[in-house]
Amino acid sequence: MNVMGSTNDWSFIIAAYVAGFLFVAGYAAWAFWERRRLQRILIALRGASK
Amino acid sequence: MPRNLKLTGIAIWTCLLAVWGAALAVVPPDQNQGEVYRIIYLHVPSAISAFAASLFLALAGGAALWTRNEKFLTWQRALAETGLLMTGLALLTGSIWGKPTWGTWWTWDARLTTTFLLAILLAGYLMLHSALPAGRQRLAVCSGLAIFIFADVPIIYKSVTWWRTLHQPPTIIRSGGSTMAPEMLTVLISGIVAMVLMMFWLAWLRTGSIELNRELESQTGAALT
Repeated sequence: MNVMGSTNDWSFIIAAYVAGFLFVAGYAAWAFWERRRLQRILIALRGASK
Repeated sequence: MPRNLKLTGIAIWTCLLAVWGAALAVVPPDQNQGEVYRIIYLHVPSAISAFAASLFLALAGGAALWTRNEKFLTWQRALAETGLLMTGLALLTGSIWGKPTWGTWWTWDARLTTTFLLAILLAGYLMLHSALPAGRQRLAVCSGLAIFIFADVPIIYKSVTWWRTLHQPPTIIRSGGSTMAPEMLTVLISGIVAMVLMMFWLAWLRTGSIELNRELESQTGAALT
């Protein structure tokens, strides 16, 4: 059963693409930040053990 | 960060943003749905990227069980994360599209329910991976679950033909060829390729952190993520 409506309301389209950008860019930014954080901790641990 | 990871990221981001630009400004509106159908250029690629992540998650599961190599477990963790990200995005964009076209944000339709189940399975995988201590048990249990998760993908794909659903049947891969206009299909396929590449690039980016975390785990006895 397919019940299709139509709309030219761009607010739904903009909401979807903003969400898409935030999902992908947000995850990428978090992944970069997390990588740097772990690298810093590892460097500090190596320095402390010397 | 490795230079090739950065350069690949820039190239994939450029492709993805170019496809989104074409989806918003170049392709014509749909005869039946009007402008709102432009969401499918984001929704369908996200869903297919989630399927691709689940497939490679299962392959990494099989490879980990076969070789006992922790590198495959690292890739499993990364693919489970990006798979969950893409499944979440597919559900969210589908919901935003569903409101103006179906008149509802959500319905417990077979396609939506089985996709929601994939999100739960991937979240369950991540919780299991975080809960188990590093070692053979984690590798075996997580790899088994990774293979099991993929069983949901063919069910999601066939759900629109096996059951009466609100979700429309396949429009790209179907007997008699695609029902889409060639210019729309070209942008959609480009969007799928760009999003699948983005999913793999994000997973690649995450493998570095997961390996660093494993190294910290072995030094301190506790994971930091």
